[in-house]
Amino acid sequence: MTQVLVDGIFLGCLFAVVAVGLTLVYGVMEVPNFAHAGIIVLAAYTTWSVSQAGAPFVLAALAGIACGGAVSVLTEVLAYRWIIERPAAAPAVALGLLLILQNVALRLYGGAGRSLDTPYDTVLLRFGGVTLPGVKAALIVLAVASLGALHLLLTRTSLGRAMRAVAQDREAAGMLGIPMRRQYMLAFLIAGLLGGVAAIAYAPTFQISPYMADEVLLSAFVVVVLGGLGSVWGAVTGGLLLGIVQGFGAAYVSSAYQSAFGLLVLVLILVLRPDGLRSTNARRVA
Amino acid sequence: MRASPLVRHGAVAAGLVALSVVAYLLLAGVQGDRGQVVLLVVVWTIALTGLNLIMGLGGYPSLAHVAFFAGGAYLSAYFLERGWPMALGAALAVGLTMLGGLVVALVFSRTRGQYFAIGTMFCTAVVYLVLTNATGFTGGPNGKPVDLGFSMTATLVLLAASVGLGLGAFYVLARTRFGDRLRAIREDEDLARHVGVPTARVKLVAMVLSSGFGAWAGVLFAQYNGVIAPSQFTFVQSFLMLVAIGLGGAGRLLAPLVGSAIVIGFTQLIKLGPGVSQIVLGVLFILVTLLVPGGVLGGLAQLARRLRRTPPAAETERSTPVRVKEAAS
Amino acid sequence: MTALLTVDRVVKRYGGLAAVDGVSFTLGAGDVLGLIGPNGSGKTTLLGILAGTHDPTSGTVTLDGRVCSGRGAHRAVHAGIARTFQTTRLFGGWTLREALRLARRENRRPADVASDERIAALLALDGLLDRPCTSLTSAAQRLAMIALALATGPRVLLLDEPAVGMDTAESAALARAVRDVADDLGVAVVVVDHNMHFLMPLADSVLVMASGTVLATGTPAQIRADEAVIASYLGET
Repeated sequence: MTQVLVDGIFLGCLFAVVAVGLTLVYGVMEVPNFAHAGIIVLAAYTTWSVSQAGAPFVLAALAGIACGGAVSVLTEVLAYRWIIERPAAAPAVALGLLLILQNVALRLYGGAGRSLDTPYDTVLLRFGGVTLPGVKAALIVLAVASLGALHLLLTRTSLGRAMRAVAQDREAAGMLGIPMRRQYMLAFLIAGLLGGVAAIAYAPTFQISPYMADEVLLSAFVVVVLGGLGSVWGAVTGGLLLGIVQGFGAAYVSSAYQSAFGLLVLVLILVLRPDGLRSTNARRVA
Repeated sequence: MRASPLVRHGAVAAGLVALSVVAYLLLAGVQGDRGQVVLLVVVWTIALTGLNLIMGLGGYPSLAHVAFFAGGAYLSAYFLERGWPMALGAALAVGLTMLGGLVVALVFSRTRGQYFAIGTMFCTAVVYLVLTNATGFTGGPNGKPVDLGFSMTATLVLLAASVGLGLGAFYVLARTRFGDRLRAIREDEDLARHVGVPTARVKLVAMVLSSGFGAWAGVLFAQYNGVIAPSQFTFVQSFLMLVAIGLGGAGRLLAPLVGSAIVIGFTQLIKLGPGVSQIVLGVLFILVTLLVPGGVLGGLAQLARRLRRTPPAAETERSTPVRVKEAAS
Repeated sequence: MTALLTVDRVVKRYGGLAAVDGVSFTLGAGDVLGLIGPNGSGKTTLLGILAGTHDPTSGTVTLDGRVCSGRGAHRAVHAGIARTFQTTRLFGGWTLREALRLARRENRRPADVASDERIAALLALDGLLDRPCTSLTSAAQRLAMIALALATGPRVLLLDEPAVGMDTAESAALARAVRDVADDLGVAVVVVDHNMHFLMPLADSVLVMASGTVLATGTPAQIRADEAVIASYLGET
C-alpha cells in the first residue's frame, strides 16, 4: 500500500515537472506544446551520448538539461513566434514540431532503446517496508528542487512577475511595456530546462527511444487539464494526484493499462464539469 | 460567368465516377511496393473524407481518427474469425465503431480546439494500448492475419467505389444546412450558437459520421492487406492523417485525396532513410500552416482566382485573405 | 398590456461573488430599454443570462409566458431572444447573405422573419449583402452583427455596446435604425451602452445597475435627474 503510494508519488513528480513546462508555455502563449515530448527525447539522448563519451554523469545531465532548454527556445523562435496571432494554428504547428523532433532523434540514434546508467543505479533506500530505488529518490529531489526554484523565480523576481502579468492579460502586459518576445522566450527556456530535468529523471528508469515521452506527455496534459491550463500549482497538485491514481491503477487493476487511467480521469473531469473546461482558471500562472 | 448548379453538380459527379474507375484500374494493375502505395492512398482517402467533415468543415482537429480506422479493421476481422458472414461482420464493425465515435463525441464535443486535440489523442493512445495488450482479441503487438471475407475482386470494387461515393457524400453534405452549420462552428462557435445552431448536436453528428468513414476504410484495409498490426494504427498515424488534411486544404472536397497522396508518397515512395521523410513532412506541414492556411488546394484556388479577375479584386479584397467557403473549387 | 419579456429575480454567482444579484424587470413589444451602469456592475452578465449565454444561478427569464433561461443560447434563440456582442463577431469571409441564410434556417418560425432586403434596408446596409463581411467598414460590421441577430426572427433583441467605435454620425444612424427595428418589427430591444448621447434619446426607459442590483429605473428624463444615479455613475467611473 505504502509502496504503491510512493511509486505513485514518483510518477506524480515526473508528471508535474512535464506539466509545469506545458502550462507555462500555455499560460503565456496559449500553445498546447505537443513538441515538448520531442524536447524530452532529445535531452535524454544528449545526456546518453555525453555520458557514453566518458563524461561524468553530472556533466552529462547538465548537458541534457541545457539541450532541452536550447531546443525549446529554438521551437519558439523558428515556429511558435509566427503564429501568436493565429491560435487556431497552434495544435497543427505543435504536432508538426513533434514529428520533426522525434524523427531527428530517430535519424540520429536509430529506433533501438538505450538505457542510461547513473551513479545512483545501485543505491536502494529502505525505510519501513518501503523500498525506493536511488533513481526514483533522485527524481523526487530533483523535481521538488526545480519546482521550488521556479516558484521563487515567478514570485520573487521582476522577471517572474512580468511573466505572470503576461499570462494574466497579454494585451495589458504589452501596453505596460513588458517586452513580450523576451517573455515568450523565457517561458520556453524554462519549459525546456524542465523537460531536460524530466528526461534525465525518466531515462534511467525506463528506456530512451524516440517515442519514450508520448505517454508521459498525454498524462501531463491530463494534469494540465486537471489543474487548469496556465496554473503552476494546479499542475503540481494535479501531477501528484494523477500519479497516485495511475500508481494504484497499475498495482491493483492492470499495469499494462497504466496510462489509460489518465483517460479515465480526463473523462471524469469532462463529465463532472458540464461547462467543459472553459470555466477553469484558464490564464493564470503561479 | 458561372455554370448553372445542375451542370456543376453533374461535372463533379462525372469526375468522381472517373476517379473511382481510375482507382480501380490502379488497384488492379499496379503491383508490389507501388501497389501498396496505391492501396494506402485509396484507403486513406476514404478514411480522411470522414476526418474532412469534423476537422475540415467543423475546424475540430480529431486525433482519434486512426482509432476508428483500427476499430473497423480489428472488429471486422474478429467477426470474420467467428465465422460470421462478411457483410454482416463489416456492418457490425462499422456500427460498433460509430457507437464508439458517439461515446468519444459525447465526452469531447464539449471541449474546444486544444482540449479536443488532447482528448482525442488520448483515445488513440488507449486504443493502441488495447491493440498491443489484449492479445486474445487482437493478436498482440505482432498483429494477426485476416481471412478473405469478400473476394479480392469484390474488395477492389468496393475500395474503388467507396472513394467516389465517399467524396460524393461529402460533396452533398457540405452543401446542405449541416455543412453550413459546421462551417459556422469553425468560424465562430459562440456566434453560431447565438444564431440558433445546436452546436453540440452538430458536432456529435459530424464526429459519428466521421468515425463511420474511418471504420469502413479500416474494414477494407484489413481485407486487402490480409494482416493487421498495432504498428499500423499508432499515434504517429493519427498526426499524419491530420497533416494530410492540413496539407490538402481543410474542408475542400479533394483534400483527402491530395493530402493522402502527398503524405503516403513521402513516407512510402521516397526512401530517404529512417525519419527523414517524416522530418520533411513536418517542415512542410508547418510551412503550409504558416504560409498557405488553405493548403495546396486552397492555395491553387486563390491563385486561380487572382489570375482570373485582377482588376475588381484589388478594390474589394483587402490584405486579409478572404477564406473561400465553397468546399470544391 | 401584458409584458413580452419578464425577468424575475435573476441571480448569477461566480464562486462567492454575485455578478447579478436579484434583477427583475419587464419589457413590452416595441419597447427600447437602456441598460446602464458602471463597469463591472453586471450589465453584460445580465444580457448573457437573457440570451442563454450563461445559466442563471437562480431566477427565471420568461418570454411570452414560457421560461427560456438556463437552456443554452440556441434554445433562447429558438424561443425568440437574439443578442450581439461587444466585440464584432461575424463569420469570417462569409457574405452577409450567407450568414443571414444560416440564421434564417435555424429559425423555427420563418414566417416572422423580415427578408434579407428588408433587414438590410432597416440597417442601411443595402447593397452590401453580397460582399464578404471582412470587406465591410467597422461600423457596417457592427450593423451586420445586428442584421444577423434579426435574421433569427427575434422578439427580443439584446445589443451589447452597439455604438462602440462609431463616430457621432454613425451612432446617430444606428439609433435611428434601432428605433425602426423596434417600431416596424415590434421587437423589444435592450441596449447596453456607455454613450449617453446615443442611448438617452433612443431609450423609452432606462434601467441603472450598480454592483449586480437595480439602482434605479425610469424614463431617461427621470434618470438624468436621479441623484443616486449621478453619484454612483460619476463616483465610480
